[in-house]
Amino acid sequence: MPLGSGVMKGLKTMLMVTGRKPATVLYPEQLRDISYRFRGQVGMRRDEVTGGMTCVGCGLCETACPNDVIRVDTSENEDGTRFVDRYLFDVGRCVFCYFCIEACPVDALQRTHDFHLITDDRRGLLIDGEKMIEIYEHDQANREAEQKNIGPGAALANWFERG
Amino acid sequence: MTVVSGVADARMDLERGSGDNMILNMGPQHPSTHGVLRLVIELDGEEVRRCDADMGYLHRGVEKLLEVHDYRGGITLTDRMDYTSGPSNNMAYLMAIEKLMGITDDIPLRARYLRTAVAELSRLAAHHIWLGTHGLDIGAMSAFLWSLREREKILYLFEEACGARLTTSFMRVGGTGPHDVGDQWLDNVEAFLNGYTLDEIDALLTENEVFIERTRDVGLITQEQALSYGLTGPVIRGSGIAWDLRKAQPYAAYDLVDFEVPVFTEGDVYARYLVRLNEMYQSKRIIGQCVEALRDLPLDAPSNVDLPQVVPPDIGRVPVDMEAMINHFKLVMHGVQPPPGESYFGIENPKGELGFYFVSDGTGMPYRCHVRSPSFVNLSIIEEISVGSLIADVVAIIGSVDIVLGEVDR
Ligand code: SF4
Ligand code: SF4
Repeated sequence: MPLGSGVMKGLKTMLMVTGRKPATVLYPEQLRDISYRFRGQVGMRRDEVTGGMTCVGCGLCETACPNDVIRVDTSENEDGTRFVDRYLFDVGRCVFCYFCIEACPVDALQRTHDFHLITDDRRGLLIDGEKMIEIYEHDQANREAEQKNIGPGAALANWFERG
Repeated sequence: MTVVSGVADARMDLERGSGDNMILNMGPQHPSTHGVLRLVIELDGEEVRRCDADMGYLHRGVEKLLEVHDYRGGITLTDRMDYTSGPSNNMAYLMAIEKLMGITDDIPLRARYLRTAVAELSRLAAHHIWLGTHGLDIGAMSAFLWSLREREKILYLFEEACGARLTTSFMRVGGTGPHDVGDQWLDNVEAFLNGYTLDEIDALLTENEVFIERTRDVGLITQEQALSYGLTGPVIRGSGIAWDLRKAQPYAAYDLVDFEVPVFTEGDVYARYLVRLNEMYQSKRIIGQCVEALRDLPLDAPSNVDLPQVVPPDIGRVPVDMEAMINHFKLVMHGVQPPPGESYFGIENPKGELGFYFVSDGTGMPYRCHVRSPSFVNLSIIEEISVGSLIADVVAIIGSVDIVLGEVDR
């Protein structure tokens, strides 16, 4: 092979691909589609009956979490039943493994697609159950609006169409 | 007064008086050392006289942490070792536990195929990182960008299957856990494979004279060296030794799929490049076969072993079925509890043999855990093969050995 033919082959390839659509998404103006199973911030479901957290205070999520993110404090009513005093979630330590969600026996903890976790204050990373309900409901509302056509699999299909 | 910090400094200091040679610090923030590796290089002009690798900048004590987490919690830590191929690490960790529990043969076929497919996808992703950065070190910018574009698609597939791109925590002891996939995902993988081509990058690099000049006969590793250093993975296959755990000790579904192990005998940087490039074509083949096999399995084929002491019951049954609830609580509180004993299991990670060694005392946490990480072992050869080469070639050598510092330091 004559010297330089390898380089020429590369140049030819480069010429062939000019004009191809860029694969980049211009975040933050554009958001890429998020797939259905995306593990974002952990949310909490609201209990239809009580209007508060669905959590029954069993403490399984606390045990299952590998990073001590969750703290559940419970107290006892006079009749001996238990209730949740306080549910604390330290987002700064969470690795989004979702072991807590797998562990929760009453489906209180829920998947959300929320990944904008930025705050300007460390204390903003320590959230309670009410805030988690808020996150979950906000995410549910958003998901319907933004991701009408994002069922399982559609996100990827959209990506491949882009180039 | 200078503070002598590392062993490498001390050794260099002892010899500093020996001549006019210059001591050069490469890293730990140097982009070409692929992470926080620090090389202390003694230079005579442009020629490397000595090279000392100093590591530990990314030490997080993963082995110790694994001993204080239950077996499930440890999965999240393994993601963060070789962060270019998370699922592969998960798999090595879990298969070692499964061996410890003696349930290796019980893993259902669906899980085995899915594990294989995902491990090969992660091999592709990891090799794309290597291909990109290795090319970039030598001056090929486009290959880097195209590599990352392809890798991004693979990360999308991971996100589709399990919800995360890098820190996947993909599988669980006894199968794939909650991350079984449907036909939609298989369609997507197929679409990815159909559109996937390495030929463009191949055309840019493989015959490029500049690339060949920079890589051929650089960083030679002989067969004897490769064996005596205990190298594994593409590095040893570039030196003419056909050692691949996927063939030598088939695990998961590797004995059910058809693939070849590329071997090159030259032992230089270029040979290692060719090994990995050909491996990527083989990975594509394996994934295709796994997808077909998964399609052929009935949809309700189990993806987890049917052992209540290993796999938690269906969460829907927990609030209504007392037995399921007790089982679920027991598994979350105490985790899986392998019988006392020890086990070692190694798999062929993208970088080489990744092995986990466990000693169990019968409780829910390992008594001792050791990780045999391929990057750490392969790194040791750099000190020897850099000597006598030019300073610019050191960059090519590091790239060709393909280390990930998260795994070296653990
Ligand atoms: S997602 Fe993982 S790290 Fe985060 S709170 Fe749940 S169990 Fe803990
Ligand atoms: S596992 Fe569910 S019910 Fe139990 S404490 Fe956690 S959130 Fe509450």
